[in-house]
Amino acid sequence: MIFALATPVAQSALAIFRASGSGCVDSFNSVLSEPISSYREVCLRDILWEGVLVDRCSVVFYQGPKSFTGEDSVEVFCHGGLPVIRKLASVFLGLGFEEAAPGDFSRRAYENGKVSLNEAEAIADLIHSEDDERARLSSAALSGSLSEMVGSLGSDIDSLRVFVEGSIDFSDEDYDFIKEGEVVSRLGDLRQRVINIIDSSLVSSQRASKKKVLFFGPPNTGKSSLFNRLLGFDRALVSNIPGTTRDLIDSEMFYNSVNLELVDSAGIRDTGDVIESRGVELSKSRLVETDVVLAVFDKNTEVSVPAFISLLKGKKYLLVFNKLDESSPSGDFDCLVSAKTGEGIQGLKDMVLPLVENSSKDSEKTFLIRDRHLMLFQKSLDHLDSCTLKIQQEKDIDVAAEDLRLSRACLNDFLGVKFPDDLLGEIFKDFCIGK
Amino acid sequence: MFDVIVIGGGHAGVEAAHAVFRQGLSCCLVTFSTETVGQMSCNPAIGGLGKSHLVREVDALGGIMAQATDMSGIQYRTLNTRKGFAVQALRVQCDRDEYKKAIQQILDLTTIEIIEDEVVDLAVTNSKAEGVVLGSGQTIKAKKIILTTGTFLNGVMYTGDTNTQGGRVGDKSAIPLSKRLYELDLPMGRLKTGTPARIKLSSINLSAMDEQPGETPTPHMSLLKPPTTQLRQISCYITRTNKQTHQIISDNTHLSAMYSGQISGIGPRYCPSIEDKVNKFSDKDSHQIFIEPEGLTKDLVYPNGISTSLPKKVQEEFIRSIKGLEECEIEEYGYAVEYDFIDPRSLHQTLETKFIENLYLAGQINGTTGYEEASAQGLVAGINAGQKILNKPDVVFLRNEAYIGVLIDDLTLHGVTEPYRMFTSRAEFRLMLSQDTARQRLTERGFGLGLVDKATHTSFQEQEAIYQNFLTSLKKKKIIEHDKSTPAIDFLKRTDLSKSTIQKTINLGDDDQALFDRAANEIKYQGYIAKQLREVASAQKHEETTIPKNTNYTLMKGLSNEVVERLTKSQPSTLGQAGRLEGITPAAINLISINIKKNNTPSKATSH
Repeated sequence: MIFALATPVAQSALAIFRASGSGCVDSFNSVLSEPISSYREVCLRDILWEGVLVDRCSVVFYQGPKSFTGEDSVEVFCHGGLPVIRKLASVFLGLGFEEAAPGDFSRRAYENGKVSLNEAEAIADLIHSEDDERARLSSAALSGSLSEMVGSLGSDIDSLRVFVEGSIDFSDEDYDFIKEGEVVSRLGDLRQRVINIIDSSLVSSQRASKKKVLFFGPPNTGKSSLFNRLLGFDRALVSNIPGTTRDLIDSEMFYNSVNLELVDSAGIRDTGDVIESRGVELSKSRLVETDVVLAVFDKNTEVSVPAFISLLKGKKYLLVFNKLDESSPSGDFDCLVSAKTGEGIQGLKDMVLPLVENSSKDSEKTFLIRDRHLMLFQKSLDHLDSCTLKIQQEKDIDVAAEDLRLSRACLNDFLGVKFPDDLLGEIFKDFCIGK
Repeated sequence: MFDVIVIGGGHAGVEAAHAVFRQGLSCCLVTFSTETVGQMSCNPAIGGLGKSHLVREVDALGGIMAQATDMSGIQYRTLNTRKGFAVQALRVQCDRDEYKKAIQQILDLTTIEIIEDEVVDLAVTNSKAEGVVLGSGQTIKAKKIILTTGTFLNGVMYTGDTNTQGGRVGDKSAIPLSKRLYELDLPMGRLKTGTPARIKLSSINLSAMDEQPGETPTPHMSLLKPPTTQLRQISCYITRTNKQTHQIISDNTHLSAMYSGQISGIGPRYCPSIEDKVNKFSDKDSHQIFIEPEGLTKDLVYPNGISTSLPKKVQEEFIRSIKGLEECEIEEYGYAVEYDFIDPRSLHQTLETKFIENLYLAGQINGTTGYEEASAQGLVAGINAGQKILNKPDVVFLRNEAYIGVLIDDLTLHGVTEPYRMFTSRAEFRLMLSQDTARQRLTERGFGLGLVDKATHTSFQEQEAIYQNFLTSLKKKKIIEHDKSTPAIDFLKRTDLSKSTIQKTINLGDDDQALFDRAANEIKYQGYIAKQLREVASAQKHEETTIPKNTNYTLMKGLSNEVVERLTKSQPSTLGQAGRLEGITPAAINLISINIKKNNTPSKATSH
């Protein structure tokens, strides 16, 4: 039997505990003021431990296999105070429940056939998802729509395999399986569908899902101060000595559900200092993988603006004038701020947001998948390509059939199941075969 | 007292007896009639897709079917010549009488004693078979009994509304023996199959049909012992049913034994009766019929494609509606036969039964169909009965080693729902199992088991050495093309050039054709086979990953209680075994595997 707190460990109005495993219902009944004999019904009960009232809770029992994990399960809605949460957790432990490891519930659900492997993985992604966008992607995969798509793709490959296998094992029949089955054009359709899945998927580990904002500019323009101001705490060391920042410093922040990775960098200028020039090289190379560049200047460096702009060709950037509390710019800037007083910071944040949103195609993506999944889809596609080539050349149909089998096997791996082949059964059902 | 008694002289029986003989053991074969030993009871052909693969494997293991085929073959055709090397198959039309004669000749050269009698009972003590009781009342003792009674178990033949006891026209059914087996309360089922009418060759107008000549030069089935002479080669012919034929059949379907509800057995879907073809696929207005000669001198053909259990009068009417058969004379009418089989899941992979020790079953009695499938099982039962007497380990072929392995694994693991026939698509590793590589896969093993004689083995080794030399010199060879030197072997990988162009470029002699073909195919399949071998190896890894004794599964987080209970109870010694336990999911196997690894490797600091 396992249990876990399903809501965050934090002071809140309500907290929810979940427990699963055979025997958990009987076990939990033993601490209730009055045993519950029904399932899927919300019952109000006092929970008593060693004769002392722990809390008055709503309790729901689920009978396996009609539960999330497929096992007997318990859900307890208690009051959200931390002392209550702690006390209730000790009740579970006292009853012999084990604290669930991350993903335990999902794994049980998968093992009991309640969700497919990729759905189980999607649940894990949802739990760990860091922003709204990814949560939305996760729930699409979770709802089974990706599983469904891949599943139907798989069964369409199978129905194609029927024709290819038929053309091998029943070549003596007066029936052209490859031609009648329109195998070539159907292969094209299957290819396209795999491509569509790949195109509409976002790989969860892809760093692109974090938007990189690089602070860039001449030394001593207050990039690090601005960086700290945006973060809301002191992450970078600041001083008025030019070149204080030597290594790149990253930190993450959320703004309007967008996960921003802020990267502070050394100022760029001609310098004989070896260490700093390495930092300079680094910040230049970082430009490549950056979504938005904040080019920060002050009154003293305003003249270098054109030189820096030429470095930023093809990048999205904002020209930021800092130290507004000291002086005003003479040229045109996108944004005027003072890291010291906080003036203009809100405006800067609001200007960054639309730029990062446009910088990524994530919003067009429908599914959040893992690296493993992407690899499987790509392999599946490769095999379809190789199969198509051989069928078109009208030779090595045995190898083409193997490609089709492997393509299907990749999808099976994604779905986490093995489908028993009954290709022969399908052939016999649909075609008049045999002498 | 014999080492082994084989009951039945069909394709399974003769192969079993011969394998026992080859292992140096004494063997007796009991048959209703010595005259029918090696009889082809259905169509007079050996081989075909998936089937020639089996025949060549039996051949590579010292079996006799391929040799008998070459001694009686009158038309050879390689199927799937354009579909790829791995799925090419040889199909041989045989002279029915010559085939039987060939088998009997081969057996005559052995010490196998053939007894003409009926086996009415098995002598069984404490669930151990000890011998057989003959119709004459005599009991013969043996260490192992191999039962290969084909369709003779409770066989009933149907033509229209008449039915006769018997497994084959003119033969009786083995009723007392089948009663005995029923008393043992074995898991049994009922299957059916059918045959077409046999027609007099002299009454057919062949000129109205398409001729299908055999292949030249004439290939041969046996690779281990190629024939020195072959019979004269003749053609088959193809004709077709027509609308009128279909009309006659559909008007009379209700009179067919199979449609009138008399037959409960399940028939093979890949070998439908003409009634089935016309009724289930009514959109097709014509079906092929292959006119197969029964022999060089026999005035008889086997019209393959119109098996039926319609009444005789209807058979005559619809057959005469077919082009070229208008004036034909029917020698024997088609019939359906229904028979008992024993659920092969009650067999070990050695084909020894789980219910009676020392009793082996092979052939159609296990729910298969086809001479080749029977022969392969006969060989497996014969080998294993012999090895057990010799106190040697079981002989099991893996699915990636041989079609024989696929056959036995399918039967004993999944059982059958219809008469089981081999197809190439049943073999997931078929790219490795070409009919031409049977010797390379199996002959060394056959020699080790005593199945392949020394002279044959030596000649095989010599041929292999020749090929290896050829391959070595091919690998050294360079071709100068456009002032560039390219390894000759690279040309074999090119898909844009035809085989003959490549051969010309590499400049090989005509004698090297077979060697070249083999090299070309090996190179072509290399990548795919490597992939399949990895698949095999990863399964193998599970078989070899041992689980430490007394593993405490309750300490493994994430395993459900049921899984922990099962594992604790059975204490599997390998991951492979654990995976075969009921209810143990792949996820659970992964978890156990991770836990084993975790306990075996010192923990490392993780870095970000």
